[in-house]
Amino acid sequence: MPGASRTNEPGATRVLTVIDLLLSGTLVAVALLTLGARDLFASVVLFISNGLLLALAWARLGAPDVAMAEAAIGAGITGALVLAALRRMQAFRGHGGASPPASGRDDSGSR
Amino acid sequence: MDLADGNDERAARAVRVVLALGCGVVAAVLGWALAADGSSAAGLATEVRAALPRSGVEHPVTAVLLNFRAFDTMLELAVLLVVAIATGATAAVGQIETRPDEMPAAPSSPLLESLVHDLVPFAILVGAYLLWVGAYAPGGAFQAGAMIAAAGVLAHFSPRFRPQVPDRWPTRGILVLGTAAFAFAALAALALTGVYFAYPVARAGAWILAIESAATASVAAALYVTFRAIMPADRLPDAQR
Repeated sequence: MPGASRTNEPGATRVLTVIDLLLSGTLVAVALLTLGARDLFASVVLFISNGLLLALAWARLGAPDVAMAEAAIGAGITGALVLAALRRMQAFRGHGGASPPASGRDDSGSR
Repeated sequence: MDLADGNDERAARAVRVVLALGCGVVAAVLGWALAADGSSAAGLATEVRAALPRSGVEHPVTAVLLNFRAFDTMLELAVLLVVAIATGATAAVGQIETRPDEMPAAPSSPLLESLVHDLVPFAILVGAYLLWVGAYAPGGAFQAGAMIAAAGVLAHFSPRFRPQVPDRWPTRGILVLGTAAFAFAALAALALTGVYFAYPVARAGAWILAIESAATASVAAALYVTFRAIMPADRLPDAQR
């Protein structure tokens, strides 16, 4: 694949292997945390982090085009969309009578 | 009341278990398919490389997206267009429910203002660069459009710099521009070379740049309009719908 590492020194290869393993492990861990988070806002933040880690994974796989699209669309714009949807849900709940959840803080300025 | 809540929670948990099982099955099938089919490992990289000189660009990914598989890319733009239309249609419904006058106004800090002031022009410049560099290196219409849309999202949070969305027809025109450019290029190529989506080889680079510019505008507009439709309206001195 173009862009994949062409380092032939064993030391560099070993470091890259460690980075790859760490990256894969962190991806799965952050994905599980995203699904398991009780607070929706924390879930959204973890989702955005997962998108950025995924972009790194694509870059390591030698696909910089996909990495850039993932960082810009998957993490950036989708993150903004999900935050906007969360804010809208809180607005709904605020008027629906049900008490807002613990995540009811104002996060509009965070992105 | 407690009983109903308990039932709801149990139902939600059951749905989650079913979803998790479904995801597990799909992952297993995909993994099996990947392991079983070793034939396509090489892909079409050789063919793409051989045809690259006739594509009008030097970057193989852009050549595939804008020339060899232009029809697929046109459909991707059409999907974005449908998303923008669908969320735009639901925007008004939510705004009535959430009563915009009672939403707290977005906090406006000097930090945010200066960040938007300095970063947004730079982000738009990076978007334009990504569009241009797509012919030679990683980049292209989708990345460029997302970058420009992100600049719009950032500016959205600043009352002073919030983008003004032109009314109805100009916005609709920009949203449709990308898909329309592809469709027009397909028909023009049919008239000129006799083959659907086969651009004249000598000027293919110019064709691709023109289509990509239109696509960038549409991607940026579709993503920002979608964000704007989902984001609840807050109190602004110069609030536009």
